[in-house]
Amino acid sequence: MKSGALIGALVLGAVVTAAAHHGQAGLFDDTRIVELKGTVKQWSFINPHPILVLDAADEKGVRKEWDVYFGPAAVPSLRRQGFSGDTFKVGETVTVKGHPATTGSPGVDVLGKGTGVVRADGRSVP
Amino acid sequence: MKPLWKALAIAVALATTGLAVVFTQSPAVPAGVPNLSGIFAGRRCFPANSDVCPEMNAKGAERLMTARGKALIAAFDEHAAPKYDCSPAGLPIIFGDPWAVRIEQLADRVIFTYEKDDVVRTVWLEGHGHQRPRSGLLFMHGYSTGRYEGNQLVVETNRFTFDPEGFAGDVINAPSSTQKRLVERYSRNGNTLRLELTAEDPVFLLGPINYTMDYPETKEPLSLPWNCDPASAQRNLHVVKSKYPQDPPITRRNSQ
Repeated sequence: MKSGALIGALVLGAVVTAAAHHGQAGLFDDTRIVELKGTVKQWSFINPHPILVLDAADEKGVRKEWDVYFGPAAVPSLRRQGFSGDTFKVGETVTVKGHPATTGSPGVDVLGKGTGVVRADGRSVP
Repeated sequence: MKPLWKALAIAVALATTGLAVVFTQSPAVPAGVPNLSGIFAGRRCFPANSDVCPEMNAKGAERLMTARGKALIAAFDEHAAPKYDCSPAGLPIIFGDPWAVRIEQLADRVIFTYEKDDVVRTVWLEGHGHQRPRSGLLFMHGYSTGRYEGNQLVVETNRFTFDPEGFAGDVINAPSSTQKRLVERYSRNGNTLRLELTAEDPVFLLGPINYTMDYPETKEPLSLPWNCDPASAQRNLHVVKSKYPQDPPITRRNSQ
């Protein structure tokens, strides 16, 4: 696993309306969205839930390894949305908007309105 | 043989072989029974916004579980859930998971193949002399028998093992006991499969749970195998707080 350079991160709080989670109840704060800009350390396109691991900094500038989840999605459902095992390359820069983990752990959930992943050139993923 | 006839013969042979393969993979529905065979994906619950469907939520657990059930919910630690070893989802939870199921009707049995967790269930149709498992033998997905009643397939399942997430997983953790019993009634309206479910568990439920779920038919094949990865499953625990941080970490002996 290659450790990408820290690109920098921006963490924003925002009140949003999001769809209720199925299977993720209480794990993420659906009322907030955080924005992370960082580099891809790992993309595990595997069941039960694909996870994107991002090297980014928190709001205090502390570098952390963030787990990016895609709701309760699994490989079949993400594949139908256009994701694949090659969707993310280690070292590429992406910006993620997602709901933060309620535990305060470095994890975000990309699910529902206002969330998503954008590449460095501005293209949305997938 | 002239080239044209030879090509035609090869084409016929290939077509015949192909038909045989298709027939082997998708056996014809036995005569005189409702056609429930196919692949179905997605689900809609009735009544909508139910607190038990597509799976029991915290409000449903509070309303429906016995004192024993609530006590176990309070005691259970999500970090101990078998799913982090890639243990498959049980019943009825898997009915509400948003992945596909294939139904194959054979003369003496019906086979349910769930995309989720590579689960395959066999429903043994009554009247075919199937030997029942010996007394006391329990199974994660129970022992299922079935019969056709009019336009319905009626499946009765019991002999479940205890399941700490038998009625709800994902932090809710509503358990089910060895006394769990399910009655599933399947029927078909055009391209929609309907499941009418009754779930009972006198140990952990105050009364039966009932709900209806519709599954549209899909032409997409099942995405198999599921191939759950234990390391990936356990990574999900990064965002789950243990109820018992003072206890030793849980050894994942079943992930080897």
